Amino acid sequence: MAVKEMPALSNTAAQAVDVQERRKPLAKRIYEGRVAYTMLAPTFVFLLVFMYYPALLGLYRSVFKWAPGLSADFVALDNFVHLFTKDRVFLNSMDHMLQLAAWYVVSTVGVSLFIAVLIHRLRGARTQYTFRLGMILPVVIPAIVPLMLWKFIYDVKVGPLNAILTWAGLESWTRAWLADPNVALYAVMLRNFPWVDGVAILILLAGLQAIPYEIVESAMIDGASEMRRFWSIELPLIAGQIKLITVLTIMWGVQEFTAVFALTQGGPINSTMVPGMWMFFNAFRINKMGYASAIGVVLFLLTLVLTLINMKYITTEEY
Amino acid sequence: MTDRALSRRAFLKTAGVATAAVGLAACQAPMAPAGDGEDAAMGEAKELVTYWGGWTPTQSMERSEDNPLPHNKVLEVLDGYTEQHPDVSIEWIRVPQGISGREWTIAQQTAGTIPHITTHPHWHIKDDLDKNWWTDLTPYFNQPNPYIPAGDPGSEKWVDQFYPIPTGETLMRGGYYNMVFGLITTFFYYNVDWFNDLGLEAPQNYAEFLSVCKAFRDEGIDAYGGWTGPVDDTDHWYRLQMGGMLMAGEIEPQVNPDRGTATREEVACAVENGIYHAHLPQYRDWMELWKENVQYRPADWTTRATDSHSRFLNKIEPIMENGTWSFPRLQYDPLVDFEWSTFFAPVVTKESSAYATDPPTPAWPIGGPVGDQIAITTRSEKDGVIDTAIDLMRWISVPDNLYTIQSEIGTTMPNVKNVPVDPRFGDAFELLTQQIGESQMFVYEVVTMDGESAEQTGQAWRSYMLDQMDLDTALDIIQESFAAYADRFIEVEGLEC
Repeated sequence: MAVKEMPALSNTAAQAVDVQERRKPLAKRIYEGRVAYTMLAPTFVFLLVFMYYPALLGLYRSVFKWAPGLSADFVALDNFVHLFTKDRVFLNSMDHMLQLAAWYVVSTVGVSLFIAVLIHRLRGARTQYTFRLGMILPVVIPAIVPLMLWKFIYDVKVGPLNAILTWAGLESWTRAWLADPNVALYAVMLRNFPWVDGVAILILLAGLQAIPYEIVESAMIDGASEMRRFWSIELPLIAGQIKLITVLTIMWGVQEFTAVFALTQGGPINSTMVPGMWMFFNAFRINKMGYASAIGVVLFLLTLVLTLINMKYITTEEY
Repeated sequence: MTDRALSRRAFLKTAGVATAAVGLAACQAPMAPAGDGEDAAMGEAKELVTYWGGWTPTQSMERSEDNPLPHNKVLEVLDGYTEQHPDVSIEWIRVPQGISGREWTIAQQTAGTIPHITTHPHWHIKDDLDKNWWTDLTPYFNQPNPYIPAGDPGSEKWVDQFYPIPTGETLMRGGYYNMVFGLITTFFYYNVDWFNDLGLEAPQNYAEFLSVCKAFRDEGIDAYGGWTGPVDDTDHWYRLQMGGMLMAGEIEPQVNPDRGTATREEVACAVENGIYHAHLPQYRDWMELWKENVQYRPADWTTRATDSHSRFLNKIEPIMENGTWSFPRLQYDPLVDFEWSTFFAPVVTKESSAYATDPPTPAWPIGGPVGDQIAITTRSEKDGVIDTAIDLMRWISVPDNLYTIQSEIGTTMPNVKNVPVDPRFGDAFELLTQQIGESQMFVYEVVTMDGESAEQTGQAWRSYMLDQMDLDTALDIIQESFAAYADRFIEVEGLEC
């Protein structure tokens, strides 16, 4: 399809126009851009009100002892000191969070990469499309549905997991998966078997498909095996995608709340407690909003560091 | 092409101006609500927003497994009121299922959108007394209820309509913040046919209870089912009843000498003065004794068993500890093809514990004035509808009106005089109106302490019961949480013990 190209301005000319524009009064420039500003304003205002304002307020509240309806007492960094020196539940929850995040990375990256490579290896475009579609379709299911399903699967009395174990003669392995403090965290971790993440698969697949075929072909001509092709060519060339998914998955692990809330509420005896759940508990069950805000700030800082790492180190490979 | 109007600097400047404008607009004083102050008194329409909790009409009036107790009679009573008061409109709201009442209330109160009349229990309101969220009803309680004929209870003072013992349990700082319309308590429901098959009878004491459970265990059955509360409440209510029985001999007379409602002041001072603490031999015995029944529970007892009814109905568990509200469900459920009955909390005898009294102290009924608790929010004062809200509640207190609502649902006993009591609740009703309920039990952490302390204590209990913590460590943690609570409470209240 023929595309009518706009004549491009040279850099110098563009800069000259820019300087000219800057010399105009602000009101005039706003007036000239009124349509764009008007269209952007609602989003920007909502973003400020619903994202930035609560976050900043949380930061502010974190140095107060405060419960809704009562006046706030400034406590400086006491909430943070208490968190890291006296709050055993919080410290344990950090440990659980790290375990969850580590597993999420292993399962998400590992399984997604495996499946993406398999799909990429399929010869027919139609077959590839079908499998790709099959992987992405579960994404449209609301997250709470599989969680409820897994709660049922883990049920001690009527859950299929225990039924299968009994059927297989492994009755001694059956247990109350979500109610036993020794296994509950692992049950939360291992839910969603076989851990297929449609979005991660798509990202990785896109990375694999973007590798110029000439590179692969020349390696094949040189006698590279399939494994060699994967380890020495494809894996390095999709490192950017892998890093991206890794960082996003770690952030997901750090912020984990939904699964724990739906499956165990942090129990039994805090064996599945994660910082997000502990923050919720402090805020809404015992009304320690300032303390909960401090937990939120810690999570924010963790996420911020990971985001900075993401921005600094995640780069796209050049071919 | 350069975007002439959208340089980054211009965009940020403009956005800053726009944000400041929005911020200023948001800070502007809100318009006075309709019906505020004087205007409301001048005969303008009064709009009440209400949330009726368990009285809220069900979405369908067709009885089904998912809708075992269809009801909507509250609307009939509300219509009766608006017929007499055409200037009043009553909006009632439905809170989505699955939302914690406490969290919802905190959010609504903080946002200023709480209904004028709403259900909320006194054990949560006690944590809100300094927040100016709830209307002190005492002055209104001391006025007559105009809907009550002269000579009947309530015609001189509204509060006279309510049974004094359970109602007195809701006193906080000398004031009433709830209208308690319903009394509830707990029982052990049991499958009589199943008991008969094994030659068992309803246990009378804890040793017998364990024997019954063991007999079922020998058959491979987890006997002790029922509702499992959140950690800060209790795992089963019987735990608290057992604690009350073990403390009744020596400790209770020191903590709660008048044996009335165990106030938070009494409990905090008892902890502060070393009268009540986790290192008491009675407390240790309580934990050890209680742990003996853990082996007879379903393995998933630590997760809140919302399906305890279905397990009892489906004959998976022969005993279900649950509340009065289970009666109508068992009565109507088509799955009930067996004979069932109830027994009250088995007493602790000398056979089980050296700290049991002789003769054994009967367990206090759990529950009491904790059903159909309705409070009026201070929003009604701000909106100028407080008098209307009070008047509506007086109308609902009329025995015929309350009976209309409660008898349709059938899950509570009335806490208002002259309201007929369902005969099946007769004994429980006598207990609750003539002696005192759970609030006498100072061991009930979430009632007599605060949520924070109750949570820590509950976690230690469960850790010990699940063999994740030794008893001494658990006791240390419990004592730590008791002491921290006492310090907090004494400081906030300026108490001298």
